[in-house]
Amino acid sequence: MYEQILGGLVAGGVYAALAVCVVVMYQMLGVLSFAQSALGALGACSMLWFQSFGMNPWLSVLLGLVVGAAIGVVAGWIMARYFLEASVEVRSAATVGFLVASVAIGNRILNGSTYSFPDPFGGRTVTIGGQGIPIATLVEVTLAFVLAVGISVGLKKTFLGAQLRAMSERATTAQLLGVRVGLLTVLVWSAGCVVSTMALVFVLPTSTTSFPPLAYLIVPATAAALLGLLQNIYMAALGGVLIGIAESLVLASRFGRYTDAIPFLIVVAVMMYWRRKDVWSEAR
Amino acid sequence: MSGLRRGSIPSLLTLMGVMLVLVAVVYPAPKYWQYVATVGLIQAAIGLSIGVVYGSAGMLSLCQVSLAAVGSWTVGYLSGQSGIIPAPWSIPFGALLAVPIGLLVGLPAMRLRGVNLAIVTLGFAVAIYSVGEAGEVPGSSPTFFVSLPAWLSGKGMWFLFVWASFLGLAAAVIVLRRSRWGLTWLAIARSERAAASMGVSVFRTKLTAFGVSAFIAGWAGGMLVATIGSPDPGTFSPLECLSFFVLAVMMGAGYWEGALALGFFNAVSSALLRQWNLPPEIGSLLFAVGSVQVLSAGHGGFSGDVRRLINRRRRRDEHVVTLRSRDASAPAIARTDGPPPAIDIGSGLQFRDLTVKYGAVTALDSVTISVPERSIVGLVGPNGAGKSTLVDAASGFIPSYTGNIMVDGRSLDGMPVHHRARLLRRTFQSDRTVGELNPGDYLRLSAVKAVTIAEIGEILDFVGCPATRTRLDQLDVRTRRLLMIGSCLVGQPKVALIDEPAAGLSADESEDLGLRLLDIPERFGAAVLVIEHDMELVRLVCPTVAVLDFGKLIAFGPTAAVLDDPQVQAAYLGDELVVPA
Repeated sequence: MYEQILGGLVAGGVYAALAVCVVVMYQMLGVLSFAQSALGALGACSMLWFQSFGMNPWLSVLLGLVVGAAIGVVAGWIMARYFLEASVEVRSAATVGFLVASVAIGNRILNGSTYSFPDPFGGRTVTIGGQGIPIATLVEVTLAFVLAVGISVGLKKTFLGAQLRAMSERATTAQLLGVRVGLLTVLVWSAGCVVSTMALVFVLPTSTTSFPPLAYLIVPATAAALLGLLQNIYMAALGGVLIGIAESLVLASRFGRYTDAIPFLIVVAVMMYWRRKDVWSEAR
Repeated sequence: MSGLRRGSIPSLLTLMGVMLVLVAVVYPAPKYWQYVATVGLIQAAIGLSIGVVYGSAGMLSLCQVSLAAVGSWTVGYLSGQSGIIPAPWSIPFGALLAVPIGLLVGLPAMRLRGVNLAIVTLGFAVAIYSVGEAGEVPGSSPTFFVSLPAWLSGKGMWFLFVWASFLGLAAAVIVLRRSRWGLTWLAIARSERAAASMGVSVFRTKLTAFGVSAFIAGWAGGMLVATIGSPDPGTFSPLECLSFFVLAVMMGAGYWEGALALGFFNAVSSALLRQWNLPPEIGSLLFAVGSVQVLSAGHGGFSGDVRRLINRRRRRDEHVVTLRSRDASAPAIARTDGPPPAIDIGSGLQFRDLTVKYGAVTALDSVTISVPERSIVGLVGPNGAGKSTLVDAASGFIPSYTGNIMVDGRSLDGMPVHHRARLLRRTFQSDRTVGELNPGDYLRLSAVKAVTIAEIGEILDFVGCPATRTRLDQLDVRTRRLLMIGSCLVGQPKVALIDEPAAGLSADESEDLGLRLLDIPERFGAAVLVIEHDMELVRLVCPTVAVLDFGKLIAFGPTAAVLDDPQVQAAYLGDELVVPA
């Protein structure tokens, strides 16, 4: 069981990092980005392309992050330009469009052929309690929590954080205060896509060569984000790790074929309990 | 009254016309294009299903294609694996079996909304996909072959079957949209609170939307497996769920023509891309871009454009909606100041020792007010005094209050909101009318039981609104406010709570409104509690007035005396402003 728990950390770390992204973007921009993993996966896939020129793995990772940032700029620009006044639902529905578009592009890039993507850490492991854990996993889980701490401290202590919080309350009012809402929207999207690209890099070596499963990582990630009630980034990160572990435990059991149903079951059970008093759609 | 009599007939005739053109074009076409059209019509049916749950009821469900999977497994099992029931007779069973699964998915929607529901339904889509891929569910394995009987294997016969199915499903959706079920779907999409205060059970409404959409999706899934020949898990992948959602948004699948366009564009574009040897991804890319464009423009997609075009042409012949002022020749009911109010009354509305606490804040502190039957009582007080809390408590939105609320001697305590609506109706400060409906349909929705055209006409006459086919979101705020009052009255309540009806009205409009309010007790037999800041209106309409300040009842009695009371003036204007007479 110990083995499975550690195994679950690999996926859990990715879910956690994506979940932190989802929650921060939801809080800052009022959008639930269903496209977050797909956009990140596009950035990560661009590394494969750079790689095919025989580029140094670290350099290709760096360039991939730049591509991730650029993708975020495009997505953020669309949101800032066309969806500034839209409701959360409409914005989020638009990200479903981003997702479908990303999968279409990603499918063309991968095109069913097998790529080998070298692990930047060369598959090195550290041994904890007699178990070898890939360094990549440790980096991933640490990344998620460092991100969570960094973001919450940054929002409280910095001027940029104050501007972002003002924007999250009400974009139009913040604009009247001189906050450059469009620019900040692009910035947050771009940062979100860089983090998602980073998160996806870690799963790429072990995942299949088909693009849609990478896009589906958003399901456990949003489930984890819901466990943090789309507010608490620590709970979201923890939720991601826990969902990863739960999946790993189920995978090893005789219900292993139904592992993909786990995020759904967990989130339904928890949300129905937490939201049991939300009888009405709107306040007054 | 022409605006009231118009039913679903024009839509049904248009549907029939479009479908006849379709069959005339496709039936003589080569087999390949018949196949493309067949698949397109099945996809259009899935579009209808998304149209019901998202387009009408406003619930962000991303798993409608997964419900089609349930239908396909059923047909796969009944007609392929076990062969108990041959296709196409197994298809209705597939549709019926999808219903309980749809209801199950609908249950989380009772507490989760918007993006939260989207996450859960997407999770369900992934779960269903993984279950289907495992191939252990009866009928889900692609090794079983579903064959069609001889009479459906002839040229174009299966296309005709699918064509007739879509025609039937689309016609049913058209009729349902105009039925009470359909009206309630639109109502909960607009506001759950407002719908419940009109007597609509939000629980039942959400379940009917999920149930109907699951039935349609299940039927589509069954037809798909019979078309392809064997169940294929890839057809029902989460990506398909998302692609269909995107397409439904782009085409505006809430209306049948949007759903049909969805199927048409999806099937034809993928067929053309195949013919031209272009990657199929181009299609999804175009649809993704299209959906983002539609969402940003917010005009309801393809079907929204079509309807606007038709409406623009029609509106030229239609009168601009102008409210009629109250008939000046009708005698205004003279209002005299009432006697001191009785505390214990057997009829009308009574609050006794009503206390509401939000955490440490006491919003209402032991308030006792009575509104005798067929009378009008005003409720005034500065912002934050607890007026709206009182209305919320009466209409049932505050589960934990102490004290009693009675209507005609019947206790409302513990009664669900939509049951209270039989005795008591309310309006809201903000506009909560259902924008997609015309005034007649809006009133039909508000009446819990069936109403005659004459009854609706009477209410429209009372509020001075012509029987127009114009949608409410095209009407001005004043008309919508008056229609909200009309929607209270059409429910024939014992008590109507009218919350700030004059907000934003000019002095003349406010006076006109006041004269209409004065008519309510006699004309509709209801007691009225008017919450208002406009003191002119209060003086005009209310013989008796109650004043709340910081949750306490500070005065209750004849209007002139109460409004002249220094304590009341202090509460409104602040102490330092009160000049002793």
